Amino acid sequence: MMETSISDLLVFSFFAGLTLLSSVGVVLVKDVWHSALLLGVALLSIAIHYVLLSAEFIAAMQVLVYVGGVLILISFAIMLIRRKLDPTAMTSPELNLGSHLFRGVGAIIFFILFSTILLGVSFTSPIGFQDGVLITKSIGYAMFDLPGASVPSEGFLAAFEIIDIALVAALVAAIMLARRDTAGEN
Amino acid sequence: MVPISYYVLLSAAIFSIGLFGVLTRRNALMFLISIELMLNAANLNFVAFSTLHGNLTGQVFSLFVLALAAAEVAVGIGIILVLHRNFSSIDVTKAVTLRW
Repeated sequence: MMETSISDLLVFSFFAGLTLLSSVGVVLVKDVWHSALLLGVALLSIAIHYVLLSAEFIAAMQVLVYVGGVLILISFAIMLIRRKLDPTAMTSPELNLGSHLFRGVGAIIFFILFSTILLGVSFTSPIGFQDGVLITKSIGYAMFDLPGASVPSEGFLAAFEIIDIALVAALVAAIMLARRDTAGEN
Repeated sequence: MVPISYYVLLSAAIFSIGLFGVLTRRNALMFLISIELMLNAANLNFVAFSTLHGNLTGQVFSLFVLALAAAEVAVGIGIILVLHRNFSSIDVTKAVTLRW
C-alpha cells in the first residue's frame, strides 16, 4: 500500500504534461524530421514514468531500444527518403480537409469514450513492490521460468523463445526488403 | 506514487494521439511513428498494472512488446524504402496497386 504525496503528484503531472505535449507535437508538426525528434522527447519522458513506477530496467530498455535503436532507424529512413523529394511532397497534417478532420474527430471521440468508461472504474490502491526486492533479477528469473524470484510472476520461457524466432524472421525480412535486385532494373 | 487511474488515463491519451496520427497523416513514416506512440501507451499500461498488483508479469510483457516493436520498425522501414523505390513517394494513398 502506497500513498500519494504532493511531490509525487507534481512530478507525475509535469512529466505527463511533457509526454502529452510532445505526443501532440509528433502528430501535428508538419516536418517528419521534427516529429521524429519530438518522438524522442515523448519516449524519454515515458521512460521517466517507468522509473516513477519502479520499473528501472524497463526504463533502461526503453532508452536503449527506442531512443537508441528505433529512433536512429527512423532518422536513417527519413534521411534516405528525403533526398529526392521536394518539400511539398512530404505530407502535411491537412487538418482543414473534411475527410481528415472527420477521422481525427473519430480519434478524439475514442478518447472521450475510453476516459468516461475509465473514470467509472474504481481501482484498488497500488500494492507496489516492497523495499529491497530485486526487480531486475526477478525479471530475469521470470523470463527463463526459473525458481528463486523474489517478486511473483508468471514464467515466460516459451514466449521468450518465440520472440527469438520472431526477431530472426524480422531481421531476415528486413534484409530481403532492403536488398536491391541485382538482376533487375532497379 | 499517484493513483493508477492517472496512468491509465495518460496512456489512453497517448494511444488516442497515436490513433489520430495514423488516421490523419498520409506519410508512411508518420504511420510508423504514430504506431510507436500507440505501442508505448500499451507498455505504460502494462508497467502501471504491474506496479498495481505487485507482480512482475506486466513488466516482462512490456519487454516483449519492446522487442516486437523493434522488429516491427525494422520491417516497416524496409517496406517504406521499397515503397519509395517503386512509387517515388511514401504517400500511402498513392500506393494503391499491387503491381507497378
